[in-house]
Amino acid sequence: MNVDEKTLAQIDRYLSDQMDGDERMTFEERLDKDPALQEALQMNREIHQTLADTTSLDLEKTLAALGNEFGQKYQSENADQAPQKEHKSNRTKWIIIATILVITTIVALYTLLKKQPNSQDLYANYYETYDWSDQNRSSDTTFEPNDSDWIQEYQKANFDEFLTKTNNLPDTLTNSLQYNIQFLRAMALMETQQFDASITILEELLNTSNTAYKQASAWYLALAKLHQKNTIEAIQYLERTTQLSNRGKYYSQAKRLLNELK
Amino acid sequence: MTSEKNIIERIRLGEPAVFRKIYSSYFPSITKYILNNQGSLEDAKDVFQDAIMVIYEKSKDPSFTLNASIHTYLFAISKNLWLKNIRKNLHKKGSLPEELELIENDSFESEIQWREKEKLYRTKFSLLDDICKKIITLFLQKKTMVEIATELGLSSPAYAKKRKYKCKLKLLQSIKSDPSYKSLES
Repeated sequence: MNVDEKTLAQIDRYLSDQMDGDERMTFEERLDKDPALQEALQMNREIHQTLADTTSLDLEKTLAALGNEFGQKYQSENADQAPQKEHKSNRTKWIIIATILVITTIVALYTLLKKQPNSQDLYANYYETYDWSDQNRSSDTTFEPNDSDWIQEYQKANFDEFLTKTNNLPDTLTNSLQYNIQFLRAMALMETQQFDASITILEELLNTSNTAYKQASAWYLALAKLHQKNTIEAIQYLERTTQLSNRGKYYSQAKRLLNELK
Repeated sequence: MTSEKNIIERIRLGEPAVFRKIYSSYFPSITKYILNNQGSLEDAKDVFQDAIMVIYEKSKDPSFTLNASIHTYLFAISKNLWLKNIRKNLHKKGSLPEELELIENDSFESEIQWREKEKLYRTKFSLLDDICKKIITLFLQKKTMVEIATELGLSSPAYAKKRKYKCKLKLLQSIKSDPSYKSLES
């Protein structure tokens, strides 16, 4: 409905009874034929009626004031019930939050425990008794173990005997032979569950240059630390194992174990 | 209410005491109903005021007489107003409460519709700028364009007439463009 200025002026004059007889008749004839004009007239009539009705407006103001007064009264009279409802609602809310927290914690712990492998189990899975004959075949040492009765004790898995017999060896042995014996002592100590003593020897071998046992020492140190549930140091020794050589069984085992631990 | 027969006459005359008595007696029950049906205290105040305005409008009809208590009328009109409000805002408020059913009461339908129109017209008028509000108000007080121009310090009666046209057109357009206007017309 777009009313032009002239039509709107006519509507205003018609509604305020300012038209003379002829103009009024012409306007009403047009009105009969023009639904848009009828609509515009009706709307203007309602607007005039509403805006001119100051009595209604005053009454509305009176009622609004009463509404505020009795609204406050209602609120204060029912204030005792509202906090109770709120209290109940708060209690329910906290129960729900607490339940969610407990469930979340249980799920998180379960997931963590499930994901985190048991270090003792891992030790059992990966630990293998060191086989002297394997090392001896690939070693360039001149040591002839079969000639020594103490090495036979190791091969027979008489580790206590082996440890006793190698406790006081002569100083005349070559460095290479001494490294061999020290490493086997570390292995025997692990077999007899003397991990601290084993770790001392293995750390010394790892930090001594020119030994053929550096990578093997790092590997067994990692396992010994794993047995002691010291996962952080176990990981450090496994990383050292992979750094010392990127081939061989210690490298591949260390990689696999690292993946399981991380 | 001691005299139900006289109450309509007292409402029509706008006696302040009768409205206070109505608020005191019936506002709590209707407020409780609105609060129990997704409404707030502010909603209750608006609905109750509108319900009284509907009865006030009806009271202007000389043929109107009360066939039930004023409380029955107020409650029925308030429920209908609230239901219309919920329906209008259904997308905001979710589903309609099952217990809320429209009470068919044709005798008040035109007054309810008129009340809604009245509120829309007043709201749109209040949004006009000050000069527009003054021009339209003075015009409705049957002031001439010469008087309006003088009172508002406008340059000429012709300019006052031009401004009046622009102000009325703005008001008409804002009413027509309001989404609720179409539903009031249908």
